[in-house]
Amino acid sequence: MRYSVAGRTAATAATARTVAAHLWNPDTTDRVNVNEIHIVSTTAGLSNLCIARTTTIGTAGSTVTPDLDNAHNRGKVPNSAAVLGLALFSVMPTVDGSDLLRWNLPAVIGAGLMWVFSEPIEIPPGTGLAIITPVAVILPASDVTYSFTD
Amino acid sequence: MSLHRVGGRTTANSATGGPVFHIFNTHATAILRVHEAGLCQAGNATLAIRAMVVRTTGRGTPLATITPDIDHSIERDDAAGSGFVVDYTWSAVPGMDASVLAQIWIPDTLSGAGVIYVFPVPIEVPPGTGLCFRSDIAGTIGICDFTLLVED
Repeated sequence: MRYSVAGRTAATAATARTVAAHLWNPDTTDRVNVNEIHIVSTTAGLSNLCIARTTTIGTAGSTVTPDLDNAHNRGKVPNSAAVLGLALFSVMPTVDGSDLLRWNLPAVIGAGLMWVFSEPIEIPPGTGLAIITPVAVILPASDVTYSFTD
Repeated sequence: MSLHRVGGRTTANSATGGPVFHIFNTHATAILRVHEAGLCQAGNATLAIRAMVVRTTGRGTPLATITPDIDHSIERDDAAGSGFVVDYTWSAVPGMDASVLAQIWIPDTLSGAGVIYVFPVPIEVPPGTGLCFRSDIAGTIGICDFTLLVED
């Protein structure tokens, strides 16, 4: 079943590998398959972007729990109970050191990127996939979308 | 089949006509298949320049290398079996072939200006050879973010 979930982050701290948004898979057996990630700047700040895996959920400033209406066919809620966490995190997820994707965006409101994965990035049970700033520069408040199956 | 995503940022402008980043197949028999390769400017003031995708015939002497581990695997099930590497600075650059597989013009200074090539038919990298983004011989490419999707 395909789902899309979106939200707006707060500007991160100017600390390398700080999480802006985070899709967490709390399931004990099922994997979450991420097909797309979108990010768009909502303020005129430069964005340094990286996708990296996480091993703890941390404590998000806000969360979005996809429900029936996030399903593309409005068929059912996600089996995995995947949850989108958004900055600011009071407790940061544990971010792995391997960078899966890197990019950057100019300091323009509306500058954005849609990553569409020909083969989805899988999130094993009890782990996550985060949008982070890989360098010690604030990642501005951004609109983010994850599209996934589970 | 095992697919790996690898991203990074170069640490210096390329040499004039030099490589920007380089995927090298260190395996004796396995063939790599490159499904996507992309780079974008990280906002550095360099000349607008042509970037080209070319094959290489040796690794050169890298000073910075990413060796993909299990977390680069899109399934997070194993590290790259071929042991392929991604290099991005060198004391001796790889030998670059003259045939250009793809090219694009990159404007100067503009963050995020770049391209992600998606190859519906992947570019195969035989054992002991590589594939790189390089700058035109007329200039350098500034510090860039790059990303790859590689099958081994």
